[in-house]
Amino acid sequence: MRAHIIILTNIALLVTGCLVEEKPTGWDGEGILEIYLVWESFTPDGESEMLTVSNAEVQATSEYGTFTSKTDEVGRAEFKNLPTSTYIVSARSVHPLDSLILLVGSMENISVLSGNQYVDTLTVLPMPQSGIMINEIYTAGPVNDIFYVFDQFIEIYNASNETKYLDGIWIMRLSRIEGDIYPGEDGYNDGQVQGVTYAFAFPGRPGERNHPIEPGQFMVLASTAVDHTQFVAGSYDLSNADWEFYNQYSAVAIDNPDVPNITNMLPHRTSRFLLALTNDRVIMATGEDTVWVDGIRIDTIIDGVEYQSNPPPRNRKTLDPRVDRGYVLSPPRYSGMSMQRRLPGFDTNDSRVDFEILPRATPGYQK
Amino acid sequence: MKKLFAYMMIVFPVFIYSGNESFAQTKSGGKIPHFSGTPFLTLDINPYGMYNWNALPYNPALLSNFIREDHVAILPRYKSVEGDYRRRFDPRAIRNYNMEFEIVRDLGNKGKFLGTATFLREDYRDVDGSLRKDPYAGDPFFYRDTTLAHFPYDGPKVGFLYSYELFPSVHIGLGAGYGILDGLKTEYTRARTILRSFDYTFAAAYRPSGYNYIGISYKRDDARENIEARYEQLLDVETFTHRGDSYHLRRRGSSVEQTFRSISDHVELTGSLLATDRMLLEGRGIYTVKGFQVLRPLAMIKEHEEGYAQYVTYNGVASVKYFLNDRVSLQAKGNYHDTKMWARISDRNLLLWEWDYRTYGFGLGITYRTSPRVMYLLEADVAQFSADSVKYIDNHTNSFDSHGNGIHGAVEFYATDKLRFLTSAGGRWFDREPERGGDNYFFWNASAHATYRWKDNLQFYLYTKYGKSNADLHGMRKGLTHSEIVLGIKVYQ
Repeated sequence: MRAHIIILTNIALLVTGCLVEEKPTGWDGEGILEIYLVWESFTPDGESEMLTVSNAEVQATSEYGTFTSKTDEVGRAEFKNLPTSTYIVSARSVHPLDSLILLVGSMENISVLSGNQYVDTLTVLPMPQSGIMINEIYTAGPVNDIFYVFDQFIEIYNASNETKYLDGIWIMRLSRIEGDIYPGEDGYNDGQVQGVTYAFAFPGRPGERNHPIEPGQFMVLASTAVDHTQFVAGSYDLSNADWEFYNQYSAVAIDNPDVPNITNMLPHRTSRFLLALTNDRVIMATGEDTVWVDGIRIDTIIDGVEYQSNPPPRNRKTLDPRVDRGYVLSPPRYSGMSMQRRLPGFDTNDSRVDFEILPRATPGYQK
Repeated sequence: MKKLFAYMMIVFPVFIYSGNESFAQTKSGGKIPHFSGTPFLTLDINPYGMYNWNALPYNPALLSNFIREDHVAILPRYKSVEGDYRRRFDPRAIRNYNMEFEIVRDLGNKGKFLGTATFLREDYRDVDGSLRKDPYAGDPFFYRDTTLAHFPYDGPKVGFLYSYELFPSVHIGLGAGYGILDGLKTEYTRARTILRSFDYTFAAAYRPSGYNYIGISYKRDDARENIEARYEQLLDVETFTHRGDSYHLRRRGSSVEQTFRSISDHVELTGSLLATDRMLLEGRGIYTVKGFQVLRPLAMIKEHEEGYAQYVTYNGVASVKYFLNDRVSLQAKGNYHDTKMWARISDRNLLLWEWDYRTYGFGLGITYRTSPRVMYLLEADVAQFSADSVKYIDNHTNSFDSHGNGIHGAVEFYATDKLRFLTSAGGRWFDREPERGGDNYFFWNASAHATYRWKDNLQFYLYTKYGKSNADLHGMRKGLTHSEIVLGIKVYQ
């Protein structure tokens, strides 16, 4: 009997012992990230000097979200007790001599390990006044259960100090996969991005001056320029949009005669201009490269934005980094929410940094 | 028998020691999964006669101690806990509506059998975001969305215990249970939860008599909580998997799924010895190892482990009963509980949280029978709780000590040979409540129980219980109301 019990006891202990795992020796939450912010200034003699940037907002973003800190008087921003992850750091500050100029900068792929300290210097640059840019993209659709998405719009903004002209400019959606080449990638290494699905163009030709956009002016490019609130409460009234995407090759396209049209350049596309709700790419090009079949030349792209529903690596970034180095984490489908630049003209060429999510879209104005 | 008892005393400390050695690096403690007390020392007033599948594992080889008469029982039960003394993710109220069935059969030479079937309806009211049924199980992996809603669960649970006398006085036992609960959140994100639990037990016992026995059992619990958030409307669902208090992972899509799985192994050693004609010694030790996984589906059949938590628990209870004379019996009882937990992020093999929770208690009780029909009970106990917690990812440490006292009285009264009443009342107070938090915790309850046996083969039950607990929390006195009612019928055969 005693032997039976000994055997049973040993078997039972053996089985329970199988579940016991070895405890890790390291622990999370002990990472330190220290960023020194500098900018390059020039003395009256023309000599370059690196100056620290104090009181600047620095953000560290990872799968755990965004953490914010401010630089102290020596330009140091510190993040303590960070969990182990790969971070993107972005910084912005008002120029110390001219409050109308922003100093911006960002760094990617910073691997912060628990128990270690990562120290680096980030040089911020005066934000280039690059002219026309995409300021807001609303693709999610209003809150509804009838698949209503037709109140989509793109808002553009003239961030320069001079009047710009829209003549001949193309607005394109890149969503087509060609073999191994994902939309927006320079798959053939020829300086062109692939995957054009839709291409709509402003009237006129590049270089003409018939359709101005003034400095600081917003313009709404509506998918369908009607008052959508009469169909779905919570959608947007776009009947006063500045431009309307109109597909002249569609038999059922709706055209608001009071709103000028941006017309379809791809005759085989007979549907209206629509963007994917949570994952897509939009580019705006000068219209000089009209041979879209082999891709669109990157040097003709004025601005481009990619948006995806989940952070990497769950979603793949595909738009060429020369156009957009990151992607906006888009709002949920059918939420009525929108993606907008944090400030009009705020452009670091990384939409992760440049854009924020608004609970309600703001067609024609900045929140 | 004495040799076996001595062997048990030797073996028991040995495996406690071996368990401790495995966790020599353990630092901490913290979130309290449960607390123990020593109520009902002397008089078993459990009126249900039901085998409690959620309780500590029971040795099925000792089914003979449990089975007295063949019967079939039907027991509808209502139980509720509600109030504002709750934590962030606790429901405002939990209302259970159960229909329980039990069958007990003495199969003679073929053994003894106990089977149960229960249909549960558990209504969690006003749950603030939590998508897990029990978000305070002690691991750092909360899972939530953003809305306040009701979360009703329902489903069946079945199980059985079987014992067989292999040789004279040598019994072997088997047990198994299976349950499935289906829950659906009433608002966005309309998360659907499938809780599946399966357990099995192997046991052996040497039992020369009802008071002299020693047994060992092994039980494995396998529980899986699969949560899929999928809104019927077009809106994407958004969920958050927390790692500690400060950090979470956000997930969004038309459907988001997360699975929590736990596998527990329990080894129980139990024994009883009638040392003299008047003295009964009882002891029980349970060693449990639980592995808890947070899983995310990667493909149709593949799952990725995002997080893991391990619990190692030691439970020990020992008691001495002394029957002074026909009227008076005395009992002293002591218990010890220790749970150590650590949790990690599996991809990086880094610790998130560690805690160690310990409690021990001691109680004394007396029963006094004034006549063959009336018996009084009085018992009191003291308990000490302590916990240490290190939340590495949150950079937060905490230590906790609390002292508790309890007192409990009961009266059993046979109005006739067939009509029995039992009433009881008790109170318990702690400096600090170890599970929900709060100072100056006080809990009281009162219960009444009546059984009436009609025509020898039919027994009717009525059991009701009411209690309140309250504590100072966040500068306010907050409370919970506990109530329970059971109506039942037992058919003896």
